[in-house]
Amino acid sequence: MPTMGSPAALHIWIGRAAYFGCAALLIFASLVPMRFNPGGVPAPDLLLALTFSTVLRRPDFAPFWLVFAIFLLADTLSGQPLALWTGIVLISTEFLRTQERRFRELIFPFEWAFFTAVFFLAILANRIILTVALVPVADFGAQMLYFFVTVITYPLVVLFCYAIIHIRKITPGEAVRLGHRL
Amino acid sequence: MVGVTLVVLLAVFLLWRIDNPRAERLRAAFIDRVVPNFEWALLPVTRATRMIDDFQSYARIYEQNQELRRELQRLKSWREAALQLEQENASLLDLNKVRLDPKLTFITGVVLTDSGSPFRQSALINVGRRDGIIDGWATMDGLGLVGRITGVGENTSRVVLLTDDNSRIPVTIQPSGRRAIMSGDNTAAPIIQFLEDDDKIRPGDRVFTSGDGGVFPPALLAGQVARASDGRLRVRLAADYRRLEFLRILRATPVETIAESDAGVISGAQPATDLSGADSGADDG
Repeated sequence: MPTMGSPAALHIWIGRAAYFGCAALLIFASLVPMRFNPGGVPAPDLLLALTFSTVLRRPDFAPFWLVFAIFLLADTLSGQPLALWTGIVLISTEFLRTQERRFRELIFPFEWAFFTAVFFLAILANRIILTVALVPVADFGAQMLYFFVTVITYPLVVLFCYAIIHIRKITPGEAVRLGHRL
Repeated sequence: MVGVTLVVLLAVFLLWRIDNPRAERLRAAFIDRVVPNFEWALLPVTRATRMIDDFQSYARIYEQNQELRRELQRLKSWREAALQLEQENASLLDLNKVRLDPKLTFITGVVLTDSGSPFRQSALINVGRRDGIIDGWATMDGLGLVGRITGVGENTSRVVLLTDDNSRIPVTIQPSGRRAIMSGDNTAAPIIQFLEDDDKIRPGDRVFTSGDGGVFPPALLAGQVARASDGRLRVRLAADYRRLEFLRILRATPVETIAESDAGVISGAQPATDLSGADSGADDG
């Protein structure tokens, strides 16, 4: 790790601030009372897409504790079962973190397919645990629609990360500078 | 550290599952502390989004104007009829010495946030225990039923909307007087369930709360019956769900519980019969 106060450390903290700022804005936007008419196409899970895309690019911008805090906050503020989705997301992001180096060299469609698979497994795990715990679950069709909408929006989120908040894949030069393993 | 956190999260989830009321109270308390701090930001953003919405509707202002003129013509004749009926009603009530339930007053709250999840339909409003709100009270907008209070914090409370998966309201369908349950299923129009025979039900029949089980006061308008494309009966809600801004919380104690406790404590059963008389009168109307 770069030492405290070095330009590299500053860069990491700016990246974390960008990730946290966007996540906080998304949570805030989800609370604005505009969608009382259910039915139709559900809103995509931008918070999850942002988190996965950040972890697959710069795992150090979305450290474990930050993801934990953001998702627990989102879980608590929305009416979801407490802590379950947070736990599932944390397991997923920790898994993505181990795969990040593999995706540095690969083109985007592979990452997209990978995202789709992990997100699907996460939703499935959530449903299974809720069913086992005898909690009523949402309609499967509605949840699949929500899944597809999120998958379709993922490239846009990645583009946003790349172009606007500058969360990009680590180049070999940067990795050396930041003291990462290649 | 990762393992420990996951174990803690699992424990919290189990706690939420096992002692749900306590966990939900904790959640309500947390929301009560956090969300009002963002009221300064939430309200302008909400207003701005609504303005954009309104602006889009300018596009078809001419058609809207024509539509409104026609509607106004129709309503004028209705108004005349309503005025005459009101006078007749007042004189009949006077003749019968009917006492209306004085408990049906309301508190008005502003909607702060929605549920924040596409699979939950609820709203957070800015009145709570401080204003005397109690779990289970009915909320309406100006016209129709909107939902039920579940979860009261000090300054905020949550309204579970009729469209939520967990919403089940006993209703009466007029004019046939059939009883049913209106249950939300995360779509814009709740389903009518447990109807004995639906041959007397026509699309356009009006749906009111029945007051069964003391869930809600009777005879609050919920909406109109509509037949969905899959052949099931649904309720087209009377409340304007596209823009919930102000909600009325009916300060109503269920009539049946009053009657029971009165009969138990006071030997004279006079007030109890009075109330139940008013209740059945409202049911028939």
